[in-house]
Amino acid sequence: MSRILTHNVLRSAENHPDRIAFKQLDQAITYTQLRDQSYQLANTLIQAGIKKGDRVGIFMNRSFESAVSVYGILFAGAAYVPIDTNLPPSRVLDVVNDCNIKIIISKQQFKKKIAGICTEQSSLVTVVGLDDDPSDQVKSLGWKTVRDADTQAPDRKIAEEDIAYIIYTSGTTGKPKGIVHTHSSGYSYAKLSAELYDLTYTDILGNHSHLHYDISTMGYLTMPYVGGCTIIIPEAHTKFPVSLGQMIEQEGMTVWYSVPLALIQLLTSQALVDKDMTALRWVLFGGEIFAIKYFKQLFELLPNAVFSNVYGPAEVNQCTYFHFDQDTQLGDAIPLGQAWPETLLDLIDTSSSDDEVVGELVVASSTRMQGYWNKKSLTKEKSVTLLNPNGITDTYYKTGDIVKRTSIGELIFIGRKDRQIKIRGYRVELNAIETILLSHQAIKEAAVYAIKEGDINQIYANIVLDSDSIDEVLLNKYLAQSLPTYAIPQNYRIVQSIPRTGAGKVNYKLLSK
Amino acid sequence: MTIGEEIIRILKQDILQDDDFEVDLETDLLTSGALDSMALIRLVAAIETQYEIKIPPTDLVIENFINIQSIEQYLSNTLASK
Repeated sequence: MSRILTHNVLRSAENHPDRIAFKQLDQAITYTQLRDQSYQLANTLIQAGIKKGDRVGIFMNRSFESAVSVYGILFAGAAYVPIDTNLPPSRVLDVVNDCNIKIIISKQQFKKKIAGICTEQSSLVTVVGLDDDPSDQVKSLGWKTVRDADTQAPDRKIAEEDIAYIIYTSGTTGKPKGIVHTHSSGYSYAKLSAELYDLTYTDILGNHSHLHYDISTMGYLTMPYVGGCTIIIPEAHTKFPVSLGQMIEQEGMTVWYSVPLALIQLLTSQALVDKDMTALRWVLFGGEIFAIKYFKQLFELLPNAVFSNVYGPAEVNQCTYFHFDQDTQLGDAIPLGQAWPETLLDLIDTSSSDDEVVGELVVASSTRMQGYWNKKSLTKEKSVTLLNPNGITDTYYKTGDIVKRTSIGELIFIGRKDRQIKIRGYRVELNAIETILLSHQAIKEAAVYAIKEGDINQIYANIVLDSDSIDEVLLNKYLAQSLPTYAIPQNYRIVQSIPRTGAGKVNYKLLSK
Repeated sequence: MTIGEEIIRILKQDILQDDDFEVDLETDLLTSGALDSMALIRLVAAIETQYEIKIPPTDLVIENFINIQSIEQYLSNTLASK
């Protein structure tokens, strides 16, 4: 069977026509409706000029319309590009222009933010989902136009190697980079995750993640593969764990997948106490390290669920897993586990002692990205060609994660090769923050580093001033023009000098002590 | 100043630092995307400081914080029983 994502919706509409595909509060859509409404959006997009291989933006919060947006774009033969609505306008423009987005799908409530990116420098031509035109140059097509469109299948042939979606993440230079996935790599993820977690059409998944974050692929791609139901958790519930706990129980969710933080919030706000959670059979988490003390408490609170650590950078979707059952002996850290199917792992630049090997993890798999959008040299830099165990050369993605392989072949995360950290699952490039600080006229030198306080990374910035003083509020506003909120330092330290090593490099080891 | 007006002031001046932020008693604060999680945490903390109360985790539910009107209602009840 060819690995094309839209086939999943067609198959589920055929096999489970009246099953709920996506649900949010009192809004629900069956697989038949998902297919037909996606056709309508696809026809609208084609009419508006979208060609095969074009990129179409999705600019909305965790909402019901996102499901039809994803498949409408795919049926039109285009690739979807989810964009974080909380990004500063200049950064949204970076994404829009980087992959030359002409059409964005949004909702009326984002009217003001959309208007903010309709500048002369923007490649944007049309917005779907606004009641009025956001500017003189950019025209709007309301959702009503989409609902009135033709429900016939659009005449677009899609191939496995066609691009399906691009997820943007922070780059070391301060400009975001786009991770390009094809229908084949996305479908492979859907298939492998469905098989690994034994998902079926009876499953109900709690999708906590934003569409622009790769954890959402299980809800948007895997569930249509099996014909199951995805609950798109509303923004409000992600902010109020007690309400979220009620929702997990009421919806009878059988599978949960999120960053550890969302689970820790459910735990510490007592949201799972005295609730009937017997339906919940899988608790999946990934994106960052789960502090073992919280993990143990949660594990005891949900005895019916199997827990699984999901590991894999967005560039490869997922590559390893580690399942816990009641007999698992828990050490100091949760292992990354072992490779899942259709995947080869290797370590490069290794050092070994006793039975253990430490090195950078590299991955070759069917779920691997095609590359970074429009960044050939970066794609090459992050790739390595190795001889695989079958004696054939293969291209591996260099994760930048340093891991330990134990004598029994289990992988354990040690740290990063570069200066990337994770905050609430989001990647933060400390070097990028430095670059932006240094672009401020009052700043002569800057060193940005992270210190763990409790279990959370706090960002510190030591700065040497070129002027007498600096206003911290104004500085924060300056950074907010080009960085997402989670990447803005919590602490500034005005210093006379920044410690350096003999070679003149910033001595980060000393700073983060 | 009513409780509602006070919350709007805190929201505009201290939390969002945006005087042009359009909000009335019934604006949906949670699903509109106006407040991200960090802003919401700061709003709760600012309310606690302003009214010298500690909001228990069990009261941190959507019904109490969906809009200014709900926050006002919740605070009136809480302050009355203090």
